[in-house]
Amino acid sequence: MSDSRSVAAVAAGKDDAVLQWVTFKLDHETYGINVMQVQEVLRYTEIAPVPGAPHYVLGIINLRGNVVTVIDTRSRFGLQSAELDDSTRIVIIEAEKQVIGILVDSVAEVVYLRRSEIDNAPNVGTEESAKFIQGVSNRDNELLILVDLDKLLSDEEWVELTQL
Amino acid sequence: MSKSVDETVFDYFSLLLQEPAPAKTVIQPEAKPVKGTTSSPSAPAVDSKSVVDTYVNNKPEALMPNASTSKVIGSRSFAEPATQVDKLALEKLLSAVTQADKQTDIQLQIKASAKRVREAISQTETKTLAPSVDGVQLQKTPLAGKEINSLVDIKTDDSTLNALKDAIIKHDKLAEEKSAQQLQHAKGAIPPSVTQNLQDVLDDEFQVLFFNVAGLTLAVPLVSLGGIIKIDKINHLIGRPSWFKGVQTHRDSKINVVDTCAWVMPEKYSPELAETVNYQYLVMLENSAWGLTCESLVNAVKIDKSHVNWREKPGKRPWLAGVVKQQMCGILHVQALIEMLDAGLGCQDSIDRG
Repeated sequence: MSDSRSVAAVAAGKDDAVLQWVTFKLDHETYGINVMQVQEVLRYTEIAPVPGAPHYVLGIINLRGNVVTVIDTRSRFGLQSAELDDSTRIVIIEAEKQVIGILVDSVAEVVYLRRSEIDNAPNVGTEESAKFIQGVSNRDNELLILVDLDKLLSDEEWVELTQL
Repeated sequence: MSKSVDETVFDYFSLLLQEPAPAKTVIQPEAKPVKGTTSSPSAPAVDSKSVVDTYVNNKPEALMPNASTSKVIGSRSFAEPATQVDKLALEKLLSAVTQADKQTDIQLQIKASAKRVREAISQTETKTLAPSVDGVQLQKTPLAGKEINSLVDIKTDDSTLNALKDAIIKHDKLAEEKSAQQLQHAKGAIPPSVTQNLQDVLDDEFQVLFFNVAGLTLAVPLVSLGGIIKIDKINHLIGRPSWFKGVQTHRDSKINVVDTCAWVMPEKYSPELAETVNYQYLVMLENSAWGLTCESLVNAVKIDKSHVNWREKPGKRPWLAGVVKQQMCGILHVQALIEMLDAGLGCQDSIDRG
């Protein structure tokens, strides 16, 4: 009897796994990305524009000898562009087996969330950017918007990035 | 020498005004739909009876409303159309009796059918009293064959005539209503009632909350009000329609905030108007996660159901249950509104209500 209870508890525990999210700010909203996909966070460094690159590509940076494409996250999210400042960061992430950088207003912290604490986002969006959001969570009376980095770009766009 | 047009028209209307009153009742439009014995409910029974009596007595001239007048003005051409109209009305009114007239021996028919008619009357009286429309529908066919006979029998029994006529009128009316309803349901054009579910939950006198949005006043029944929350920080979600203002956290819940002005009147919601709108509260819709932004809360008052002009037919705005007559403002159909919002529909998007 007790064995079955413990098994159930373990199963429930597995279902309600704790996930870590790196949070960043963009246009006064807090977003979270899976910590497992974050490689490092850089201060803003000069980004070299690439002629003929898609509009969502800011350019490329040299990261210890490797060329990394930086995405204009504001543009991708349909937000207005903003001035760069001291808190601007480039978050290096890995998604779809590619390493890219995303430009954000600032990086906040790493938070722990149980899976059960994540809710679906209101399903009213019809725009392309609606699919970026994989869920929302209410944390300390603040809304955390969780981003699915794999869906940040479409399959064609991921391929396009490799050909830059 | 011919008369002028003015003189002719004047004479025509003068004649119309001089028509004797009893004749008018015979040619009233209400009497036109009468076929056979199924005279219109609004047509006075006495008139129909007198008409039938007179026709059976082979004196159709007496039915002419202005027969005497026509003789007086027989030389005038404009009097003729009126007489024709009367004839047409009369023919319709007496069509069933006309058929009877074609038979060689009416008196034989009267005697032979008297018994059957009485049976029909007794059956009609019992069946039409039953509430079931189906029962009424079933009796229509046998009655139709006996209509003439029943009319003929009128001469002998006035009380049974009235009973039969009332019964026929009643059962025809019910059958017509039922067939019309069935037709509407089959077409799917008109659901039973678009606001009936809302009206059912409301008392005859119910409370509504009035609130303002950019100069527009809307009302929400208090039974459909989930609460009122002061607007705090609204988190914008990317990729959402313009009317979706974002998500506001409230205690442990998340409220989907609707930009009411943008949703209700998107055609008028310009960036300039958006600048001027100062949302203060969220009007929560029932137990849903949806909240409508509003600038100010006016008041909550009791209104009578009859003071609302309820929407009866589906339209472009299923979220609008009706109009409060006194305040001249729209009253929300919260359930329909929630359905639309859940489906991500805008104000003018059509909703498939199955």
